[in-house]
This record gives sequence, structure tokens and C-alpha cells, in this order.
Amino acid sequence: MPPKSLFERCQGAGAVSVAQLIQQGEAAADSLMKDYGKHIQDRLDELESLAKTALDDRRDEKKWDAFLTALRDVQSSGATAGSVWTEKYAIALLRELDLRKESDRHLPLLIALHLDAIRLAANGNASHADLMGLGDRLTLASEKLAVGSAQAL
Amino acid sequence: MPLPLDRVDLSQLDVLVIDDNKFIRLLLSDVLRSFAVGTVREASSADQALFKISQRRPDIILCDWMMAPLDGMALLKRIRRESGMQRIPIIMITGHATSEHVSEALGEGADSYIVKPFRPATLMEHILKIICRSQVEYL
Repeated sequence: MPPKSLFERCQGAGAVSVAQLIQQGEAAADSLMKDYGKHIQDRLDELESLAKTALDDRRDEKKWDAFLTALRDVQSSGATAGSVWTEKYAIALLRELDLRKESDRHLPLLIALHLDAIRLAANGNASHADLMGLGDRLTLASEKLAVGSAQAL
Repeated sequence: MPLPLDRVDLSQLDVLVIDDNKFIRLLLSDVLRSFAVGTVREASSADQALFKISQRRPDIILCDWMMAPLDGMALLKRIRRESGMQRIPIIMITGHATSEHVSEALGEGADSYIVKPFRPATLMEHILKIICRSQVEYL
């Protein structure tokens, strides 16, 4: 007897309403997304540690790559979890890192400010208005801390 | 968009979730279990995924595009080259929403494509389409 097709295997006596399954899926996703801040704490700690390592040895491309990969990872999980501001702050920091050289003397401060903002957004306790205001202040800080001012490495 | 099936039993389905992001793996796995999918396996890298596929062929693969060191697109190409793995339905999941990316993924053999962020209903819709396709095509 030929093996059953995927379709046949999914049409058993236990078939239930797809609408009901979607509802269950939505509930599971909502519950997990509500705890996004808790789930991502370890990753944020790691991100801070990778930033420190990269800043301690700015000529080491591998260390920068590891930091960038972790930052993109946080951006991606923020997008998936619907944590809009986690994603936006991560994108803003990625933009700064793209714009500035590793030797830029303002980089440690900008990274610290953005990572603090990402942590605040991920925790989910701040209001949208507060996070928007913080986003504006980050933009302002970035403009004030001029690009191109390098420090000796 | 109307769903292709009204009722379904996913208890015999084996889905492999491939993502290097722990939170997204957890999210996808939780949603799949809430869909009553029988077997949900996880891989955090392309190498781990290839090992798990070789252990037991999954019915459907959900694969993230952005992974390191081997990304989802490279993994997709590898799977499509391997005998015994070529016909496994693969749904690519990515933050890239451009038509070029969609074309590239489908051109390389992805069965469908989900852009982040997405809701469970979207995931279910893609799974059902693959199940329906298996009526007319051996998967």
C-alpha cells in the first residue's frame, strides 16, 4: 500500500475546526509576546557584553561582527514579537554603526544610550508616548555627537 | 483570504523549526503546538537542521533566512541538492519584504514565504496550502 499523502494524514477522525486552532495559536503567541521582555533578558545581557568586547578591541572585525549579529537578532525578535520600539532602537543603532567608523569617539556613549533604550522597550513597561519621546532624544543625541571625530585606538 | 480547509488534524504532522533566534524558535514552536501539531522539532543552526533532517524526514520545514554562519538561503540550496530531502516543503521566514527576496527564495525552491512580523493565522494558512498541495503532488 502506498504511503498516505500529507493531506490524507491530516484528515483523520480527530480533525478540528481550523478557526479554533488559529484562535489557540493567537492566544499562545499573545501570551509569549507579553513576556517578551523576560525571554529576551539573557540576549540583552549578551548584547551588552558583546558591545563591551567590541569596544575594548575596536580593530577586531570578528568582535564587531558578533555584536552586529546579536543586534540584528534582537531587532528581528522585536519585530516578530510586535515590540515595535525594540526593533526601531535596534535599527537606529545599526544605522549609527553603519555611519560611523569603529574609531568614532562617541560610539561608546551612543551604543550605551541605544542599548538602554532597547532594554526599556523590550521590558514593555514604558508607554508608547515615552518610547517615542526617547526615540526623538536619541536622534537628537546622535545629531549632536558629530560623526567623524575619531579617537586614537 | 478564505482558508483552503475548514477542519484539520495535525497530530501526525512533523515540523522542523530552524532559527538561530531562541525567542522566535520558542514562539513558532508554541504556536505550532497550540495548532496541535504532533511533532515539533527545533534546530538553532543549519548544521543542526541537516542532522535532524537526516535523522527523520520532517513533513514541513520552517526556516529563518538570517542565520550565521550558514544562512537560510544557503541551507535551502543544500536541502534541494540532497537526495531524500529535495521534496520537503520549506517555508522561508524573513524580515526581508522586497519582491527580489521573494523571487530569490521561490526561485531557489522555497515553497512559500512569510515576512516578519506575522500572526499565527498566516502561518496556518501557509501550512494548509502545503497540505492541500500534497493531494496532487507527492511531498
